Amino acid sequence: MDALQTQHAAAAASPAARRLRGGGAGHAAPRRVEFGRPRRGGSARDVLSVAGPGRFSVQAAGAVVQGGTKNSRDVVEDVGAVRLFVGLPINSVTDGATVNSARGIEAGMRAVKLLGVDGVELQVFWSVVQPESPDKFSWTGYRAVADMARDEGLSLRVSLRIHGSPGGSVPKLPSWVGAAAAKDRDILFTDGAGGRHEDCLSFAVDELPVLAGMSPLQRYEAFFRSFVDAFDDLFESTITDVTVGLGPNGELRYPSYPPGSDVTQFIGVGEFQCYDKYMLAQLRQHAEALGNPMWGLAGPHNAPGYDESPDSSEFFRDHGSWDSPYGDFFLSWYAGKLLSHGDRVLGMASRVFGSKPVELSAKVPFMHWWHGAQSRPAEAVAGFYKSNKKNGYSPVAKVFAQHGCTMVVPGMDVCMNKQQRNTGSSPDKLLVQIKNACRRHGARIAGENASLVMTHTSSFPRIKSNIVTAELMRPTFFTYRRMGAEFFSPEHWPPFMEFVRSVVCGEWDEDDETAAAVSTYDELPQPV
Amino acid sequence: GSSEWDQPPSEIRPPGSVPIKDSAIETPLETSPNSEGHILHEVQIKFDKDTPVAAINFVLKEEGTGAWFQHKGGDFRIPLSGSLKDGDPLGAKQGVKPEGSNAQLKEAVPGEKGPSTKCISEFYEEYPILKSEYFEHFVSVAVTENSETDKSLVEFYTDITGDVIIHWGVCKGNTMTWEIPPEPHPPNTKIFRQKALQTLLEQKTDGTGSAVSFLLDADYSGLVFVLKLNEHTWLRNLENGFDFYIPLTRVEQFGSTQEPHRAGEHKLDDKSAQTDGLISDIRNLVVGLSSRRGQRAKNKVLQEDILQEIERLAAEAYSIFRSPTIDAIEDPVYIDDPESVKPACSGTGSGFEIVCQGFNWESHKSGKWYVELGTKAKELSSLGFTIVWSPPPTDSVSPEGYMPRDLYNLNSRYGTMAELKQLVDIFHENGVKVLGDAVLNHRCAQFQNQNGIWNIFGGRMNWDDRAVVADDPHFQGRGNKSSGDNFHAAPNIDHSQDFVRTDIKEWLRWMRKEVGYDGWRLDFARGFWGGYVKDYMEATEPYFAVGEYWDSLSYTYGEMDYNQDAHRQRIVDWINATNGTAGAFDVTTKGILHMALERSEYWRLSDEKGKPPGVLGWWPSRAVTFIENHDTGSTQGHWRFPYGMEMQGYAYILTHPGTPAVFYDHIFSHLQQDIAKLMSIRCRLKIQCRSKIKILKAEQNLYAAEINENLLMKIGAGHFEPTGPVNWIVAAEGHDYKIWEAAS
Repeated sequence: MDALQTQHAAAAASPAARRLRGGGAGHAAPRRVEFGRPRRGGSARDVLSVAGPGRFSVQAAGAVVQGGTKNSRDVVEDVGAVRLFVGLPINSVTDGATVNSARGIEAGMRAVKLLGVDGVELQVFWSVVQPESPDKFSWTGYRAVADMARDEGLSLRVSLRIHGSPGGSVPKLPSWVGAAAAKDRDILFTDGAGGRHEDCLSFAVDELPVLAGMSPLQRYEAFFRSFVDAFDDLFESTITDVTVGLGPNGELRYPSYPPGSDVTQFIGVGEFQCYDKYMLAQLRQHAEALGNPMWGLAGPHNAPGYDESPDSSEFFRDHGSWDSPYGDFFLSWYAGKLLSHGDRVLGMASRVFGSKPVELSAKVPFMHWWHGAQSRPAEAVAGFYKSNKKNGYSPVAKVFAQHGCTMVVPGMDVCMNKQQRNTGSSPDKLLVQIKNACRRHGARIAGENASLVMTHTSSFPRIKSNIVTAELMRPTFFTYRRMGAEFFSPEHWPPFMEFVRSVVCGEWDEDDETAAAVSTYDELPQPV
Repeated sequence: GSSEWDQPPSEIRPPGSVPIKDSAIETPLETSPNSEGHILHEVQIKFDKDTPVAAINFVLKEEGTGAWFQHKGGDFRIPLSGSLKDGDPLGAKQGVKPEGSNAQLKEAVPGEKGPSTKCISEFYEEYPILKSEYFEHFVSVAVTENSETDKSLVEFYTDITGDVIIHWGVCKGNTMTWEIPPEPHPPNTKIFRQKALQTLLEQKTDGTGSAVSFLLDADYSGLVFVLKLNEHTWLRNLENGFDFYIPLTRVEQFGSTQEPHRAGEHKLDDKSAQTDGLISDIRNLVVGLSSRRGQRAKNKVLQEDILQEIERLAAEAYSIFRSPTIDAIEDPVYIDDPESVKPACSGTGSGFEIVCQGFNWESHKSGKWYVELGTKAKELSSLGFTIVWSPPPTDSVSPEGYMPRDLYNLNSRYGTMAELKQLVDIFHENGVKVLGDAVLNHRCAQFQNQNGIWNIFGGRMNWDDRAVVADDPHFQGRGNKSSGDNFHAAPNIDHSQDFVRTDIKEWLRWMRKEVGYDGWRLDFARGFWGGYVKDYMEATEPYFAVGEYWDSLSYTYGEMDYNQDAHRQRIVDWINATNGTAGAFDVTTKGILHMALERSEYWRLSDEKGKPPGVLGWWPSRAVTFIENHDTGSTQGHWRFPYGMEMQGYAYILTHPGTPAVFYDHIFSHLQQDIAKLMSIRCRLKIQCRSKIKILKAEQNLYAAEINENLLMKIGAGHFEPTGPVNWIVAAEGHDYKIWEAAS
């Protein structure tokens, strides 16, 4: 009977529809955490699903009751359901017009819908939408996918990607952008050895007219606005979330991995990417303004190579150059450039999407490796740094909060025990650090798993504990990445089903009912 | 002291021992009744203390069932020399005492003292052996309504002898939550952890089983129970793995029907005396179908349906998402210039091959098929065949050759080895390659083992039962489990064993050299992993190789599914496992052609991507298309092509990519002229296994496609005429098929 009551309580605690206050972050950027969620037609449960109406939020609610109000800051008063999304294949659309494996996507959507998942996430690439010229957008393919989600009654989280994706199944940049980069190689991010990132425009050219007479920022805005036009009718019904890509892999970060390598696989320290002429010019200007022109001639000369240990050279060692006034000068400037890029793009995005009833979000990297080192070298080369050994995610969280943007943390599955010790990995500490930063500045967080390749099925308990929690910094949604052959394979699909069922309704109904009976002979050995 | 097994020296072998290969002997245990009347099985091994034996390793095997008994997954081991370590799992001499009805075994080692430091004193150990046996029993539960007392009489009866306890509870509403009914409880009932009752059934005096009956309040919706025989033995519902559930309301559609433990039964007793009660119950039900209970039950049923639907959708999505990798395998480069075609490094021949299956199910009857087929070599060559598939050549238990026995004996019902070599020579003279039919999956034994099982082989490859897969109980193999499906009529060969593969490779090379075969047709390729085939192909470098991977297409409710991706995926997976060193018969295409032609559903001939729906749509260079063979047609007719529509089938496969194979019975029939015409068109227009295809129509009664940009074909009754700038000339025409070629 306990189980039954739990179900009812869950249903009661789960409001059917709540709207984000003011409807748009741009108009009234919330200063405080705002847990109201838009919940519209897309996720209306008019279709029966195995998960049933009971939402797992009850577990959080239960914790609230038991936990009392001693520290109400840490406890969510208004427990909304964490929305569960499943990522669609990264190459759902590659030519702008047709949907790849459309029947598979359709079947997959229906399967996850029946399972009780709230929505799907669609990655929309600039390179696919505007492949050949700045004058023409082709939305047909993505629109078809969005319509499939709508027809299935699923919510849709759209991730707008302006930079390339690892793996190579989707073009990196529009060919006309590539052509511009071929003429001026310095608009691409460049490492100390002169290696260029063909998939990533330097943040230093954000506002320079390097793309057919317009700046990248203007081009991004045109891309976003075109998206709004093409999907306008879905904002009220299906599209609940827009995630703005801020850099490589959709994350706000420098491409600190080796050019051409797969960002999702790289766990080295990485290298600073400040060697295109525009970055160098800004560095020089900054150094001169501070009266230290010598510091502005290049990046740190004594930083380790991509795969070298932070101890292998002077810069990132304990009490190394990073800890000196020069180190602080450089790292602050470097992180500041990232921050102002994020600020620019998010500011533009909140203008574009401000009037739409969607939750705006953007992704940060989850670089748990070398987190144990004092200098946090992997974070620093990716652009996360704050003077005086303070939390590098803090300034970023502040910018996110200012734009009412949810911070998507893509490492909710990463367990300590699976990481290599020798990289000083510490996913737990990093997650706490990110949450602290967001709490301080009032930014919401959301979650993703690292990737299916890296997510072992035994990571499900970890994900569950990260998203089903009563603490304040509870993810507003979680996206499991991503649909494909491996996702539906006999090895992965059954544990995933169990995971969703356990998250969406605590336990399956049958399990509740038989639990009591089974427990009466729980000592029983394998029956004949 | 090593863990390797060696055969014991002959002087210490007990009588009746049979050598097994070079490493072991099998010794039957002697039986004798012990003092308690149980049968003891025992063997004594006596040997001189000077005999250099470090240890005795053994496992037990039950005759009859062929079941093996091991110690913790390994051998029992009795160390006879060396110092004994503490905690050695099997210290020394031990008796092994099996549980249940099985045997007891003692190994007696003479307690003589060996060399002083290596002496092991006398000891005795017992180890349990777990043996599972299946029994069929039933439990019947009868529930009788009694309208006067408003109680239900519940009667349990089972034929299980000995103490039987029902561990039970009742439930209300539509939950399956266990509750304890209020007292009074039936006699011999204990409360178990406040959650269930345990009632001991009363044994019948005649020893035929036990029973109990008691009254229950009628307001319970159901009774849940499991059976307990003793502390270690519980019986639950085999069907769902959970508890037995007996609905107490009269609403049978809400209770799942279930068969308790195999042969159980469960019934509701409708005695005529209770008719009134029954009717009122039903009325109550109709009136008081108070929603929640019914709704929940309905939801439960729906939930099961949804789960099944989810599984189905996931499987469908899986097959679709997997297929793009196939596209990647097949290089989409279409070869326009035949001169650039590389010859044969991958079992595909030149790419322009046309295969003739050179025999049917009756060919063995004359005893001189090789000679007879040889006389047709010139004709087959002139018809345009480049490869002939010859019958399985070895000594065989069945005359058709597919039950091979002595693999190095190539005198068969088709002729002698000399005649075979001559046949190959004749075809070679006529420029036709010859495939040998290699049966690698199974092999018939020449000798019985000591249990009378035929699993000891003879001839030059004198394997024993270690070469036989372990998971077919009929043949008591001692190899590993099969890497594929089992063919149940003969011992299946365990290709995972190195010595087996070494021998097979040697044999195949020998046939390549001695007979002159150019390649292989591989029988029953489903039976073992394609990776082993890769090994064999790389060892023999065939000019052409094709495997028979034949399993069932997908059907839903008896209707063949439109999407046969799962089926062709299995074939492609096999080809992929061979690393593309062998092709496979395109069973998918044959199956779809059956449906398309038989029922005029030509739309089936285009898959969702507008490509051919068979293997040839995914991996054309490895697809060997056919419409009939000795199994599907001939005098066996296991899966005969729609009668009278053979030419449509040939119009399809002889114009399409893939490598077509024509059946002997067809080429030597009234169809010869028509088939020959299609073959000549294929040759003239240089259609080959990788030719480009564009499907133009796939409708109810019409399929049309353009191949190689110089050929148009249509099949089906529907009207089709080529259009466009190209000047198309009719090249061949017949009943429901037509072929055009581009005017040059």
